[in-house]
Amino acid sequence: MSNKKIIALLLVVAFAFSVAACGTSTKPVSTPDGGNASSSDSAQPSEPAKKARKFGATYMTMNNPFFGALNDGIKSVVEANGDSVVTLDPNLDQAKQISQIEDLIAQKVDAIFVNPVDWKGIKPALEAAQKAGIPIINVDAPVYDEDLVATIIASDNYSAGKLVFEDAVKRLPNGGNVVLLEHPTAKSAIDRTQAFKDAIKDKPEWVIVANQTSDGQLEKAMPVMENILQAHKDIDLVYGLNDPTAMGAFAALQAANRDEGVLIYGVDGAPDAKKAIKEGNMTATAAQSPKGIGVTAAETAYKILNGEQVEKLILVPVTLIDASNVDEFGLDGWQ
Amino acid sequence: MKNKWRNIVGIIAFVVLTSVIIFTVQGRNKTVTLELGIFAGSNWDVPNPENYKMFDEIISKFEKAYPGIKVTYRSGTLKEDYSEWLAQKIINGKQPDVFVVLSSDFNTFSSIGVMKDLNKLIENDQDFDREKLYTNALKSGQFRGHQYALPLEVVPVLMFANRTLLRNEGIEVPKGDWTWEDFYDICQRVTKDTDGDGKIDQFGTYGFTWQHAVYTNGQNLFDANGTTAYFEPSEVLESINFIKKLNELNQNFKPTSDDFDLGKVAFRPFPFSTYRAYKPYPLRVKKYSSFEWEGIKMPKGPNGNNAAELYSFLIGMSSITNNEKEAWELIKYLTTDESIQLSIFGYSHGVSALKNVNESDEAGEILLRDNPDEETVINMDMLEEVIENSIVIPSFEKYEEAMSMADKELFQVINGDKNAETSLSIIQREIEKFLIQ
Repeated sequence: MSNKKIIALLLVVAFAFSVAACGTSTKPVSTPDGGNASSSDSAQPSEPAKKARKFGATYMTMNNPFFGALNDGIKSVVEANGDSVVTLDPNLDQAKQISQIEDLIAQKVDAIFVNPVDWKGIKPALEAAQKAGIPIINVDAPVYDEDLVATIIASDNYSAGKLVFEDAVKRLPNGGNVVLLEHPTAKSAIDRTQAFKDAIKDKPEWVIVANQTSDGQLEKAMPVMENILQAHKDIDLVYGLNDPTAMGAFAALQAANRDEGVLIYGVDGAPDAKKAIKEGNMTATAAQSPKGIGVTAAETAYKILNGEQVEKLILVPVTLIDASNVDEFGLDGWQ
Repeated sequence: MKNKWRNIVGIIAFVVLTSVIIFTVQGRNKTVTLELGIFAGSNWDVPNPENYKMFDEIISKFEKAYPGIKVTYRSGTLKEDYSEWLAQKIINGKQPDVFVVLSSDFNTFSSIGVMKDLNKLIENDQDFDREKLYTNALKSGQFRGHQYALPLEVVPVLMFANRTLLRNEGIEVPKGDWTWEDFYDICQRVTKDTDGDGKIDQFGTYGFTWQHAVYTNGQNLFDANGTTAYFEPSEVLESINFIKKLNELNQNFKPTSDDFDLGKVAFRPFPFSTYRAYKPYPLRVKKYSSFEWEGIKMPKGPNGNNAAELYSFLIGMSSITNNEKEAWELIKYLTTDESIQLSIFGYSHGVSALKNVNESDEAGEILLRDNPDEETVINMDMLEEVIENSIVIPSFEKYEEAMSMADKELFQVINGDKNAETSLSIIQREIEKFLIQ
């Protein structure tokens, strides 16, 4: 029986029961995943059944498919254990993310996977979780207050920036004019951009002509890039902090008919970006493995709940994908 | 003694009067808090980073217009989890006062009494004018003749035409009221083996299902109450035969969505929301960027119109809300206030259910902003015509299961040797039996 049918059946039974038993008011009944059940008439089993664990997850925005893939990785492990994840989307609003974590704490979840909207602004929610004794598993973008989280599982973001620069040097040995599209409230993005900045230090042939923020969003990156294009006639390379940003920059370049000859780099290894590389619309992407991060994060969460010691920082390696090797990674899914 | 009684009466009168004044003032100042049930992201499965912004703006305007009402919502629930979240709230008797309803939940929610029947509220409200909404849009929120929900947005189905492929084949993009015959003719001309390896690698259509054929042939498969099925009319047989004929063009080679994405398919039905999301920059670089395309009407069958099904994004009221009056004001504001509907039109990717909004200059400008190419822009006249001619799938509890029974049998007809007429008679008999169980 599908989940949908189970829900429908439960609803029919619960609603009929509540109307019959209580007239206009309704009486809580037990729910499939524990929910807020307050009464149950079922007989006690002879042996206590394993208590299902409930996890929470909140990512900076589900408008980036990267986090959908990361969440899938977490769910694959959690659901295989017969447990569940409540996933929430603050859509880049830090206040909403804090209230979502408070809501998860109120639901008494066993652990919370957090990808912060703002690596510093998330602190009150981390403190609240710590006070409630709920471990935080910090994924993808590290928080500033590292002592408030149980572990951090992220890509080697600094290496991603280095890989991009190493590839750029091969293609533009004499340097060039660079546009950096960054996201200064996400530590993952800060590291990616900083690595590039560090690499061109003392290399005067590389000039950063524009350095602006687009919150890692394709929709925001395009207008930001359009403004940059108006101000700068000579651009050789655009480095977006992630693939959606790089795609947004490409959209602006293509719409202005100025994409020819401009190198476009991103980070993620998203299926869309790999297709863009294959079609010659993007130069390369420093590929992450969101599913891998998700799986590692979930496995680490179980270790924490079982009282095992875990590493404070687990870095997942990144790989550069360009036209020469894109077919090896496949265009349809994440690596 | 008289004075004493007079004093007592006076004191009582003073106390009563003061209490009445206090309660009246308190009553007037009392703020009603409504909980609104929504999910994160788009109902139309296209990227929409501004969903919260849209609701936050609308709520802020509503609270200004109705100072005694405050609206809250729980942020974050994903669309894929919304149904279960809402179901748990319902089971616990804590459902939001007003909530958006996924089309797949509408049947269940209306049939078990979770949602308030809005008929009386509509009838008693002088400000509510049914005529302002498309009949089909209203129909989509009805269950057994009762209005249980109203449409926040609607989305008709259009045909996606690959202009590049058609141009390369020397074929003009069909415009206006094109027919199945025109459709078949073009499919026949473009279906071929382009690289000479003996395998067909260019196709006429992908995703044009037997249901699309039935709807564009003007046939609904059930009555509004879900008590009668209509699989035996000649229009349905005609539709199944047409699909078989179309499929035969491909011989044994089945097109896939990848073929379509790579520009190797001429036509594919798609919701209007896909056009609005992916036709303009910046999202046009994500999908279908390797060829030119546009949205046109669906081809019509001998007995139908150039329109298939209509999708609706509905909003309804909890049947156990304690704030019926305020909840109705919120639903009415969201669905019938023209400035709010225009705002939703701007932020989201559907069409308003209000005729005035779609006919406004502002809506036209938004569509032109989405796609500045006048040759391929979809105009409002066409959209209105498609909405009015669309088929509204009836809402009843057993719909999905009944359709799955039909689909299973017809798969063997379309892809095998089963006789269509006999199979349709079997489907008719079995589904009718199922419907009265």
